[in-house]
Parts: sequence; C-alpha cells; structure tokens
Amino acid sequence: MTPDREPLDPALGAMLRENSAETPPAHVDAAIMRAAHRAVVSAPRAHSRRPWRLWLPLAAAATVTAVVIGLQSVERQAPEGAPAANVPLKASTEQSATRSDESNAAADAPPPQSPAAATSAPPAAESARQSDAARVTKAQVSQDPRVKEAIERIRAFRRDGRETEAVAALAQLRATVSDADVRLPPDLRAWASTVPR
Amino acid sequence: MSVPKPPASAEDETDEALMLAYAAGDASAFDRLYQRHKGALYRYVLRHCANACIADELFQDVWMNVIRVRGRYMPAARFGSWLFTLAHNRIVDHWRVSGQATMVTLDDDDDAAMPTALVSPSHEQPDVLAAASETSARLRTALAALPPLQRDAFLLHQESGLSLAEIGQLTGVGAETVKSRVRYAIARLRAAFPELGEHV
Repeated sequence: MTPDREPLDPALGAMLRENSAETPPAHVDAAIMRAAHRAVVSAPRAHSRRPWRLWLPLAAAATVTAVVIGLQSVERQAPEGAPAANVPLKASTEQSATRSDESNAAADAPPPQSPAAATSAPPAAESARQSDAARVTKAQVSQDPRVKEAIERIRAFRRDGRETEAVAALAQLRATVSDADVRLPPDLRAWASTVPR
Repeated sequence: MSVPKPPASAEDETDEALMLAYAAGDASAFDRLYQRHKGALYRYVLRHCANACIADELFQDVWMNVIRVRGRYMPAARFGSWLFTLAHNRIVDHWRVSGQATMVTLDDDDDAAMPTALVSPSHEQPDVLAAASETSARLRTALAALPPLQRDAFLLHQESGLSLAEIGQLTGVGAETVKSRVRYAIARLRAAFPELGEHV
C-alpha cells in the first residue's frame, strides 16, 4: 500500500467494508459478459489481420523480384551467335548437342558393325570415347568441310568393306586436323579408337 | 538446463495483461477482469446514484465502453485507474444530463453549497431502505448527502484502490485537494455515525 493509500479513517473504512455487499444484478452481469464475448467473436482479431496486411506488399515485391531475376538469367543463357568451330561450349549445351548428334548419327549410320568390332574396344578406350563425345559438338562436326568430307569417305570405305582405305582416310584426317577423333561422329569414333595413330 | 516456468495462474495475471489479452480476442480474459472489478465499480456507481436502476444503467455503460474501446487500450496507467476514469466520466455526463451539472462546479468545501439534489427522491427510498440493512441505508443516505466532489473523492479512494495522486490525475486536481475532499467527506460521514466515536 502506498503512503497515500493509508486508510484515512480505519473505523469508517471498516464500517464501509462490512456494508459493501452490493453487486450488480445477474441480468446486468449476463448482458455485459454476452456483449464482451460477442464483440471479440464477431470482430476479426486485430493481430490476425495485421500480418496479412504487412506481408502483402512484401509478397508482391518478392514476386516481382523473382520474375525479373528469372528473365535476366534466361537472357544470359540465350546464345548470342554461333560459337567458333574449335571453341568448346559449356558442358550443358555440349551434352544436349551430343545426345542430338548421337541420334542423328544413329539415323545416318550404316547397319551395325560386327559384334567383334563393337566389343573389341577396351573399357579404357570406351571411357575415352565417352569423354570425347562429351566435348564434341554438332557445330564442330558439321562446320568443318574437311572433316565432313573425310567422314563421308571413311563411311563409304567401311560400308564397302575397304578397311585399308578407311584407315588411310582416317590417317589423312588426323594429319590435317589435330583433334580429328574428337570431331568424328560416335559411330566412327568407336572404330577410330581401335586404329593406331 | 533451465527449469520451465510454470504457467501464471489466473490470480497472477495483471489487469493490464488481461485487458490486452481481451483486446487481442481472448474473451475469457474479460471474464476474469470483470469478476475482479465489478463489485468495486458497481458500489462506486451505486453510491453516487442512490437509484439502483440508474446505477445498473451507468454501470453497464461503463463496461460497454470498455468493450468498445478495447482496441485502443494502452497500459500506460493501471487498468483500475483507466476503468474508474471511464466510470467517473460517465457519472459526470449523467450529472450534466440530469441537470446536476452545476453541482459539479460548486465549491464543495463550502457548507452553504451542500447539495441535496443527488439524494434519491423520497418515493425511491422505501424500496432501498427495505432492501438494505439499517446501517447500509444510513450509509447510503449519508453518502448521498455529501457534496458530489467530496463523495467522488471519498468513493474513489475507498473503492478504486487508487492513490490520492492517481485520483487527483483522474479528477484533474492535485493530490492535496483530493486529500482535503476525502477528509471533509469523512468528517461529514462521521457526523452521521456518532457511534463510531471521535476520529483521531
């Protein structure tokens, strides 16, 4: 009790306390409680409204930012022009180009080689072939006319069973183009890996 | 390892916390708040009016006001102080509407200005007297005979639990003025109850 809450007249205070039994009637109690409950039930809670109101502009700003960043990254990834023939492209485009190249080559390829030729490549050579395939691109294969011409001749020789001429054509290509094996299509690359330099 | 703090019991919750909880949508907080304060507030209003029907109406108005402005409640002061401020203002409004406004501005320390208008009309008194004990009836009559500002200061001091300084803030006067009004009121009430003996 604070100093100025000291009872100013204890006897009078005691008499007042003894005669302080008055309470509001039950119907008044009920009316007030009912109004109090109805007020908070019917009214939406202030603290539940505020977060939504606060987050709405933030969510809109985040959406706009995400769209802008997405558009910028798409623009960056779009090709600005044809790459140089001997410039390796990024791995992602290489892999997709290789897949495309493989499917094209399969369509153009002669009937499958003999099982012996297909299985004669050692595992190391096979992994090297796959590694090369990852690096070669369709642009590299098709843009160099010397390579295109050599590929056609090698295919024709092999189709006709003229293995010696095919090996000679490969040797000529290797002499002309430093990374000749890499530029070969997959069907010829597997064969070329068995031909000694 | 920290010991988990036990949940606060209903008695431990402050009035201010309960009022904030109610403003945030917790209806049960209002129930507890109402149970704590309804008796004192009702007696404060009833002893100003001496008419139970009017007291019921004013009492209900005060609580409806609490409900209505719950969203604007700021615990800058004690809840009790805020609640009795609402009640005091409602009673002053009632005085104005019922034509007793001039009595509020009377120099209530002047014996010549002793008001009698707030004493219940005589046709109301039999009901009141019949329902209450003799002492309660005498007390009510004595309180009704006090000047309004003295009665207000005395009842606020007696029922609200506020300090003289808080009552001064609530009524717009200094603590010494409140103390003076309370002393005058006590002197007059004692005069109505000589059996209490001399106040030292």
